[in-house]
Amino acid sequence: MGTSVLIVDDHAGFRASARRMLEAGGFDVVAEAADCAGGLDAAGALHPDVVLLDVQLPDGDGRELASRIDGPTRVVLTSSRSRAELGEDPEELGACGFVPKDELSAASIRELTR
Amino acid sequence: VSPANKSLRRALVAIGIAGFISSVVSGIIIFSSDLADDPAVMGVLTLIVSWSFLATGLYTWDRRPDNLIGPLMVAGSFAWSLAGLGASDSSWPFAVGMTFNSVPFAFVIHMIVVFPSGKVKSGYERFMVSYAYAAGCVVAAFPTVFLDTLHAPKDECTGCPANPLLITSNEGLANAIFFALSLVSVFVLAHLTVHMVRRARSASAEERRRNAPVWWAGAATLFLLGASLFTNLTPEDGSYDDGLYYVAMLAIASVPYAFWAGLVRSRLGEAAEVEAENVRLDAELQARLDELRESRARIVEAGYTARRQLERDLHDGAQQRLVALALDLRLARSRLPDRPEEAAQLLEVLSEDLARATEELRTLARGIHPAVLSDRGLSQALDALASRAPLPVAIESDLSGRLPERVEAAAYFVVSEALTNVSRHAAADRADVGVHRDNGSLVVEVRDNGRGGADPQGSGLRGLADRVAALDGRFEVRSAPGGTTIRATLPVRAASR
Repeated sequence: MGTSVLIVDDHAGFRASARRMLEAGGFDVVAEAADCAGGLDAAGALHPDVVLLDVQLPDGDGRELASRIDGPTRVVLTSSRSRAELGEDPEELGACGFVPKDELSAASIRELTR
Repeated sequence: VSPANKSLRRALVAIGIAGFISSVVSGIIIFSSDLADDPAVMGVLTLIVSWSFLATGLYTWDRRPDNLIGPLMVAGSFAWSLAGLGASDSSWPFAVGMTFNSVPFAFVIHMIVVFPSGKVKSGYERFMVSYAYAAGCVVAAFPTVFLDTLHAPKDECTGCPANPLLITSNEGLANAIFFALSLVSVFVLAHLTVHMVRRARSASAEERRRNAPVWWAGAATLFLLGASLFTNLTPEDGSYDDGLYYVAMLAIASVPYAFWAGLVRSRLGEAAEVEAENVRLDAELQARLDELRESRARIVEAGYTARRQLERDLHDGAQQRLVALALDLRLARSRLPDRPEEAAQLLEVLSEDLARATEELRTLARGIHPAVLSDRGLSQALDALASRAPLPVAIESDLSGRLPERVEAAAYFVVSEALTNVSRHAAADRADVGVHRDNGSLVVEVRDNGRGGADPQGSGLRGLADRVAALDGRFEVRSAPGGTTIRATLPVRAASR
């Protein structure tokens, strides 16, 4: 049983690619959500090991959602924007790190959640 | 002050001095007369009247050299002085005074009739002026040659000097002429009085404000003159009643002051009008400035909005696709050594995604500025627009050749935005686009057969209106059940400057 992952992103194309990428790298993608509300529900219900969380969501800010996901779940923020555009430090937001979308890989997630 | 004005001024000063001296001489003769019934009253009246006419006449002549009323007033002043000589105890001044006795009235009537233009404007006015001169200068002067003043009946000319103009003594003829003249003049003056009152009452408010004082003083003068003549048609015991004549003189003296009052009122009126006009223009200008300021702010805001929208479109569209492509590409590469078939499958999907991303970018770029518009011109760009529209669009255009870029771009976006609105909101099943040149402008019209209800204050149409207004064009929206018509009129020449 690999590390369980929840992907929260409003772009279906990205979710599909990310799922393929992470599953190919040995992760177990247990759920996908398209917005904050769905993400919070899925995180509460499934308690995944990792949440890959888009910063910009249609119904709110992923940074704010990161601080509301507690327990042992580790949150990795992601965005198609650069790290510089994120503003705050991911650690201060209750996340363990940030990965730009185009640099996403099983290795980078593993590195950030170690 | 121009040379012409200078010489006029000099002439007016000379005339003024001459007029003043004449009236003073006349006044002295009347005051010292044994002949006049009330030398003091007559003297004062004569001075008041002739000075009033002189001063007002000179002022008017100076201000309005082209208007005959100034010279007429000055002439009237001289005539008063000459008529005053009738009170002289010496023969020749006495004869001159008798001859000029009615001349001042001719000038006064002329002046009243032609006020304010100074010009005779109808046959009626011409008749009245001619009658005044004929009666006052000729007919009234004529009997002088029949009056033997030394042998007149008792009370009629006590103490009169000899009449040097006497040809043959015929008191009866002289009296008959006076009687006939007075009788006819009573009717003429009555008619003219009524005419003046009618004219004053039918005048516009503006004319009334300017002319009323003169018209009313004129009408009063004419009436009192006629009344004075009427009461003296049958002198009781051969003595004339001077009371009404004095009142008539006062009325005549009021004419110049009425003229001044009219001038002052018209100047005040003009000042008030200019003031009101200025206030109105200021308000209009302010409204226009406010509108400009607002539309400028809206155009800037629309620019920001468009850029935000563009950023979001790029971010949500092409960027997401490319990010996904990058991930999949890396995945495919990692699969290549172990599972080449899976990698090939992935690459297949990838190239489809890439084609979609390219198409999205193309659409986005076209929205920023359609290349076909700058390359091929408005007609072709509109054809392309129509072919992409989700409903049938018929284009009717009489364009040939290119127009200034700003005009083409504005016209294009009017049609583009209008067609977008039609397909989104109008529930129409067709749209017609008309483009034609009209008198230096390009007129663009988009009609649909939908349900109407377009809101000209909505951000889309407002933005178009601002775009059109920025080119000094006109933008109209008519929307009702049955269809919406949007029409933009864009000046072409102004834009090419």
